Amino acid sequence: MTRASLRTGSVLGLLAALAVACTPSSPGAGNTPPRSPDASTTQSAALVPGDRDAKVALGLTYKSGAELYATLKTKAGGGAPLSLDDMPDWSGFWQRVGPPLFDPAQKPSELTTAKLKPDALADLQHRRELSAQGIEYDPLSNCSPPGFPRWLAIPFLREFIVTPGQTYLFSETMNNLRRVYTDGRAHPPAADAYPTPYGDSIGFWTGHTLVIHTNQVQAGIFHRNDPKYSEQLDAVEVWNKVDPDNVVVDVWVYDPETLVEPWYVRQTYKHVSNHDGSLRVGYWYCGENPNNTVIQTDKGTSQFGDFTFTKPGDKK
Amino acid sequence: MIAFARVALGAMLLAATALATCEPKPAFAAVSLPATKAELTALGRTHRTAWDLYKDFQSQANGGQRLKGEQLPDWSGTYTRDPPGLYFDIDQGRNPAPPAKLTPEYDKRFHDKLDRVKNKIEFDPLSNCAPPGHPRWLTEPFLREFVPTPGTTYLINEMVNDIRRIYTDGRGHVPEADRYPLYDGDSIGFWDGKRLVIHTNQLRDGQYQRSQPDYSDQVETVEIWEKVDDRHMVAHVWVYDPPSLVEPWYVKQTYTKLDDPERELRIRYWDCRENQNNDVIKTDTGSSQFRDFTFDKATPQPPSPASSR
Repeated sequence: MTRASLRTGSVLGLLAALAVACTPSSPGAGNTPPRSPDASTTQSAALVPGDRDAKVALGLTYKSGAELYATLKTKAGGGAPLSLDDMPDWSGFWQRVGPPLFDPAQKPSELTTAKLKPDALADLQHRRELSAQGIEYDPLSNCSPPGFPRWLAIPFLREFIVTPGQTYLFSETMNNLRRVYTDGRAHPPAADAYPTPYGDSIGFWTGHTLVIHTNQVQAGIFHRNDPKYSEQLDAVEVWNKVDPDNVVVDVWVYDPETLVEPWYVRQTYKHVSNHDGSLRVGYWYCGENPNNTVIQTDKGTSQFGDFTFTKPGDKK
Repeated sequence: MIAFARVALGAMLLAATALATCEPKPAFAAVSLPATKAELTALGRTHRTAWDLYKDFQSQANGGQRLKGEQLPDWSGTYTRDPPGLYFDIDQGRNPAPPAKLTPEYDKRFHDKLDRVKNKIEFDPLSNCAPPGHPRWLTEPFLREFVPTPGTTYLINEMVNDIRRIYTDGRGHVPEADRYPLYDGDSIGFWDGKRLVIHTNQLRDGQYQRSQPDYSDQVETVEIWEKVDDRHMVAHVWVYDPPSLVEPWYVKQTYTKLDDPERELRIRYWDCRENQNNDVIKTDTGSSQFRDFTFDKATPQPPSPASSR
């Protein structure tokens, strides 16, 4: 080997080192081929069936959301942490598609698509009868958060903020922010668990599909004119951006107190156009007019607290 | 030799391709910040408005950068403001007044407020679940998260689920015709290395904190956020508000990362109105008072005149 070829070899080595230095440094990223745009859908299809009936049947196979989640996680090989250089782009604003019912597939003639236990069914029928008479009370009127899983079905703007260890699912209504921990942590120990409006959500990524398990929720209603649920509820969600304009979520809800069997629904969120970047989400100050206290009356209907448009001291 | 030249040429092409596709790593910060508070305060004085200061920083940073992927700094975790306390300027110490140079009108308003507080007369809009608004947002207690993403950085405070959005995708502020005062205003920014530079306008008037001066709806700020070590975030802040400040007010805010070795710490939804009987109203004397309530089932209760308490 000549001195010239050694020198050339050194140059080649340097160039190669330079090339290597510019490749992504996250674990495994350098060995991963570029992800095709539909990789997320493919991953999801492999994880859960594509057909609605098959998804309903999948839910029936398990006794709880926790069991379904554990199975999906095993099937996904435990999931894989997101690489900073291969993050799904869920940026922008989104809005739910469908009527103000928890199941967008529900027909107008149906009371609900959920299979309810007798007490929950009687409660729903009673509330629907009252609603037909104009008697209705929604905790949102008094600025209470919708809570999960109702969060999935409320209107207004949303953002889905993906970071390696945590995904934030934001809804403009009441500044609702769900936190989904994807850093491998478990739910808090039972001794520390208590019901909260959004419960506790952990998840894992498989490709660009996010799988979530939520428990520890407060009791609530799935929507106005929808069934109630108990704090025993737990749910599994599988989130996918199926194309540039649509994020789709498969949801299995388990609630042994109100549901005879898990309730499967599919939610879709459509991208909101913002060509000139002037669209903003502002702070939702629900109590902006402090006179507007809405209270529940003895009849179960809503009513404003007494108020005038003068100063508080003027009220008689 | 020809074969070797071919190999060399191929390698050079490979390297050139790699270089061309290689994302630029964020450079060191181009904006040179002075070290002392006096110098940072003086820096604010060299610009007439917050926008002028922001544009100067942007010019020094050659327009700034748009970070993505591994270029983004790791600001994950849960933080809280340090040190505890509710002064906007931590250098206020035990003084009753902060170091800000207030205009005569706002100085009088401030001292009138202190006099009322001495007599236990105080109303804080937070009592009625209103958000603190920026720049007061910087001083609130409780937990915080700082979430950089490629086009937007989210600055989150647990209290009343208060989220500031900093748009770093190159957009400007909303057009003049569409502007109106907002609790957290409108924030745009750019990255200078791993520092985030922010300009905020369109703010509502408010107070920097309880027992602190007021500001007008002409207030604007420039902030430079940086993670200075594994556990600390620092924000350099210049506040401009001609109606209330004779000169810009520079303050430094520090946020400390909380230990969470078992990852059991959570931030939950802040339901400020959880007890709907707990309506807090402002009385004629400027104080706070609960509206009449019972612990029975909610029924309409006529509020009593403030003087009956």
